[in-house]
Amino acid sequence: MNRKGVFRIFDHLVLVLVSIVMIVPIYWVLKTSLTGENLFNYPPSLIPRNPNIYYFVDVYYWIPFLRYFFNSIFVSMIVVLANILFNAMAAYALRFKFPGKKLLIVTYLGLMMIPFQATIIPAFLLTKYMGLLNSYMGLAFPLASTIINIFVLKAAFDSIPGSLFDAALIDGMKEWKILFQIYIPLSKPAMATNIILTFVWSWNNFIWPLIIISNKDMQTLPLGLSTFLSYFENTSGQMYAFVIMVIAPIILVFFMNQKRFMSGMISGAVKG
Amino acid sequence: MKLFRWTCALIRGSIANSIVIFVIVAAFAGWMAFVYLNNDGVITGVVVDGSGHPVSNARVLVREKTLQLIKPPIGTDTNSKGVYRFKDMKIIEFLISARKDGYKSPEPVHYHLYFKGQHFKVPKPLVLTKE
Repeated sequence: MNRKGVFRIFDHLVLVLVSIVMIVPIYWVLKTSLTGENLFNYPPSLIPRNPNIYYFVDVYYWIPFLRYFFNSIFVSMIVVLANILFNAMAAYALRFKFPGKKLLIVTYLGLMMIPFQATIIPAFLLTKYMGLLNSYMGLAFPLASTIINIFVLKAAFDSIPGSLFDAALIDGMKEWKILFQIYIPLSKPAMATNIILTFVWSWNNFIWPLIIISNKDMQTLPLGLSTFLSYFENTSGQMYAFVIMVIAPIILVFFMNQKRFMSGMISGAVKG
Repeated sequence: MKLFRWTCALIRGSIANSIVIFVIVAAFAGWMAFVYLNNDGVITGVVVDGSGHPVSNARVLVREKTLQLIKPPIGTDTNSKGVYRFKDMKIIEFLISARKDGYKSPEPVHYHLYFKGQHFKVPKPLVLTKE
């Protein structure tokens, strides 16, 4: 075997190892959700013994799972729709040359460096003054537009030839029509990236719902999970079953849009 | 080959996504319909003695088990064929045991159901042995 072949095998071994390291925790969560086996059991068993779905049944009945699920879905839908609308408009505006454009972009990039925790108090006060505490709009508010997704869309919009825009203008199309009928349909991968990222961020959001939600019926799944953990002890099976129930929709959304997501990320990387 | 390519495109494309969503929704709706039609909460079973003969007038006790506690028992008596029957038992996890004067009570047996109010026939008879 030549040197190139040896390196190729080595590359694959490293990739397999990294894949195992990534997959094992998820496999462990899934296995524990089906067996309820204690995490610290020794020796640990790799293959599930007597798997059953009873822990999922427990979670379904001992917390208002469907209510939390609906809340999470509804808030995520608002966030996704708001992101599509606002990010597309912002990215469209950034296509044009205007005074202070560079400063605006630098400001955007600078704002990305500020952690959300640092802006929680003003965000909370704003939400309170708008009367959005304990509401779906309040939950969706901080994620309604995300800077990173604006840049992903901007990169996609930049790759669309300017002549297309000129032709549309000459044909008498309004700007909003150009955006929604030309730019957005031609940027499907970037839109898919927008949808997946914002859905995942909204779905996993924990700190913001924890701060603004005091009504039990308005809790989202991550908040429900934390409440569940605070109520019950020594419930490995139920806890892991809950985790699987929380992450399953995200995994499903990702797999359903995997191809577009990847190409959207790549187009963003090349053009950004 | 063409069929293979078409199948691959189908799996990758939005039709496949629609099928996945439809299957999930259909499975969920089917399960909910099944639960709705079978949630009368009847738990039945048999109490026998050591030689396998039915024991009448034995007291059967069901204790609902939750994640936090075991609730006080609910009881019923067996009929002349040793059969017991509980109604409206909206529970998902329980311990069941039997007792009768002159017999040694067995250890409570633990069962877990798939949904609240599941129509459930206890698979193993409760065995009372003579003292």
